[in-house]
Amino acid sequence: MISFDAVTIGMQGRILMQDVSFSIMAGEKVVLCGKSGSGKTTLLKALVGGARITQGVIRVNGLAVLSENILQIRQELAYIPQEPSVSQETAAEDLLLPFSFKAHSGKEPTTAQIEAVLGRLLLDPVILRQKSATLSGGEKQRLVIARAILLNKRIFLADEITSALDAESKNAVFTFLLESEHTVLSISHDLEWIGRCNRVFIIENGILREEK
Amino acid sequence: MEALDIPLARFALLYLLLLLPLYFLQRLKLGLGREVLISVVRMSVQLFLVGIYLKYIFAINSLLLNILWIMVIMVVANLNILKKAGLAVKKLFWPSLAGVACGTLVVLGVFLFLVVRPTPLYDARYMIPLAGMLLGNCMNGNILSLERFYSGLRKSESTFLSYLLMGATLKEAVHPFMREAIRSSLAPTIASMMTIGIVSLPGMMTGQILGGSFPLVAIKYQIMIMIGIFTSLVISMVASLYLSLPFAFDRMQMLRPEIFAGKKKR
Repeated sequence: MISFDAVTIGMQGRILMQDVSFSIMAGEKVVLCGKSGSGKTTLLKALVGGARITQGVIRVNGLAVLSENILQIRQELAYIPQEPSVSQETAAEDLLLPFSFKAHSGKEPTTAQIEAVLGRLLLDPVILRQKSATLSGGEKQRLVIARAILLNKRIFLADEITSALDAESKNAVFTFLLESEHTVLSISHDLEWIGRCNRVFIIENGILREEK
Repeated sequence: MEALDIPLARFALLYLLLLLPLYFLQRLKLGLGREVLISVVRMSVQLFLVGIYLKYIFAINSLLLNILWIMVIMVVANLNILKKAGLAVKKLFWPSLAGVACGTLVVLGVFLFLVVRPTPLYDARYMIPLAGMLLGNCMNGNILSLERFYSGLRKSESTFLSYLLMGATLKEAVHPFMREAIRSSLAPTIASMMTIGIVSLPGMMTGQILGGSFPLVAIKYQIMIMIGIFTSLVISMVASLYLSLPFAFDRMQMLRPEIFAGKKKR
């Protein structure tokens, strides 16, 4: 599903990650740990074409991360940041934002589909009428996850998503991500999350190793 | 009716007036004294040189010379835009120049060929100051819009990336950043149009009235200039932003770090 084969990532002449090799199967829940600045986010970015691969090859569903494949690869991936940025509009508009893009126009989900997805994430549909900026950190994050589900994304890249969550939100997010069929590649310092993932990778000084 | 000339001795008094602001700046320990002095000297020398130059350019009144002069000031304005916006001149010189040229030349063309119609149409007395006025304003607007657009994208890289992952094309993904950059860069011009005539008498109009024009004629020119400035500003901002996109993003649709100048100068 995702494979890194002897990958070296550089930025402005500096090597950030060296000779990284690993692969992740569909449905696995993986967490990357390491000090801040160790290159975890760079690794996630490289997967979506956001960091320069100077050596080796990254593949997503067999497709190499190259400019000719990048649009197809991005269709599979969703990025859930630590603090999702939302617009000044309502949550409904934020949820349906991608359907205003040419790529998804005319494919808007039905109300029933939206409510089913919100239900899985323990979100009350009432929030859709609220301004996005007034939602709590946990609600914003679940809104972003709901959007990814509506777009039929298969792989979730989650960057420190539990750091700003209250217990209820955390539980809803954990349960969804761990029980779903989605592949999850996450960055986290949260011991509870690390303990519940299938695989743990440690990044130190630009080198990656798996913790057995 | 001619404007009263200012004798040199009294003109020198103006420079003494500067002692007041310099005193206050010194008391507030702002450390701006050197910068103020340099800018005053530069302003004076540049204006005197341009005065001498304009005297000849008006006398010769040649189409070729006028075009050459406009090209020179466009290049200077463009270099200043990129430098002040903290962007690499090498990477964005041409798209930014093309944007500035679009905004200035379209409006200048309308002024000369349709509205004012001087004889000859390229009359330096009209062509040169109008071009300068438009360019000066385009320059300030483009510094703001380019700086805000590209620094906004750099700051909110993960938001931009999330748009791409939601299926946005490059143009769709940069659209919110562009909208914000243009909105905030136009705000000062819109605000000045709101209060012009009530709070302030604009420089050009005051100059014309002092120069002996009838206020009503001066006002017509001023309205023409305000509409022209706004139009050229919007055209040059939008053109510069769109034309710079292919130079600023790589084949993966990511912002090239090398478009930013090494050390940001403000």
